[in-house]
Amino acid sequence: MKKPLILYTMMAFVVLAVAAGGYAYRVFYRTKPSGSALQAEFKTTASQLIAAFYADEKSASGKYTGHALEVGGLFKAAELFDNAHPVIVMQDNASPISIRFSLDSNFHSDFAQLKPGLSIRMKGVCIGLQSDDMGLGADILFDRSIILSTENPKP
Amino acid sequence: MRIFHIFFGILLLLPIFGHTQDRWFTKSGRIRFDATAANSPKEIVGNHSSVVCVVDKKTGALQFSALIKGFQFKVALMEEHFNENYMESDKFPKAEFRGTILDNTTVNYGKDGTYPVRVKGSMTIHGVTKEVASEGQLVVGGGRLIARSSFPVVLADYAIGVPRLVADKISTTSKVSVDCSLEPLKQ
Repeated sequence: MKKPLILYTMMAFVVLAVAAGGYAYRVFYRTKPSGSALQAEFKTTASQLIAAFYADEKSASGKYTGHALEVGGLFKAAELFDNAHPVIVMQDNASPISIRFSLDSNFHSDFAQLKPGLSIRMKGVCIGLQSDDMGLGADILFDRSIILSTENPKP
Repeated sequence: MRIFHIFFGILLLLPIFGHTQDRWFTKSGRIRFDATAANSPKEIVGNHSSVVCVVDKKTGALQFSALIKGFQFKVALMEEHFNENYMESDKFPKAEFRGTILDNTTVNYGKDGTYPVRVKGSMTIHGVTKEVASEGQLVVGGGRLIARSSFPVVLADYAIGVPRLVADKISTTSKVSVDCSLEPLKQ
């Protein structure tokens, strides 16, 4: 009677150890979700986001930095340096602050068809406000961004 | 008389244009940070591609700025630990360097070529500012100015503590590489 009990206990330990190891491995080597898999925690417009950072940078940073956002606004420009790291710039004409979306590496080709003045919706992770310390203008920065939709502005 | 006014107006505007064309900039500079130790189970490498950099060719002033949360790691847990435990990026959101190119007069910004330079200035990381000096190179070509440098950063110098439990898995001195492709600033 004692032998099966020891055997079962040992088997239970082995199963537990394997499960714990698997869990630890998964947690330790967990990769970040790509831009398309991100769940937007906030949906806003470029004007509203810029206004929030302009009014109270600390409060807006606390609310948005590190979170996935969906942002709608007018496309201003696309920048591409060394054929890598394309950036999409959105700007509210009434503000000196721009929004810069670094595109997710899996969606680099998506920016080619964009034209200034196009209405676009972007999704990405906000990494904060790069303040204007060098006279270049302030920017709200996003990483792992993707283009959700584009449409011509309503006349 | 009218021609005189136009000529005088152009003369007044010249210093403004002159000043802006003296400056080169990028908002898409790159910084690579490597703190991999011999015993690290995986490479500890963070990459940043939204670094702001400005070079003033007239004065040799050089400035970098990077949001800490912009460093991207392959492993999510590594990025979380980097921001929360080591860099405390909510408290110290930015790293920056303000300095001068010491041998700026040897750089011909109008002629394509590679110019080795020495840079000196103050670097602020994790809320701690230190005087640093480094060597690098400026590459002039194709209408752009490329600024490159690699230098070590001793984590303890910037009050970045490494827990004893993982002390042998994280290098106490990280290798930092800067690579910025700048364009002339036109305003």
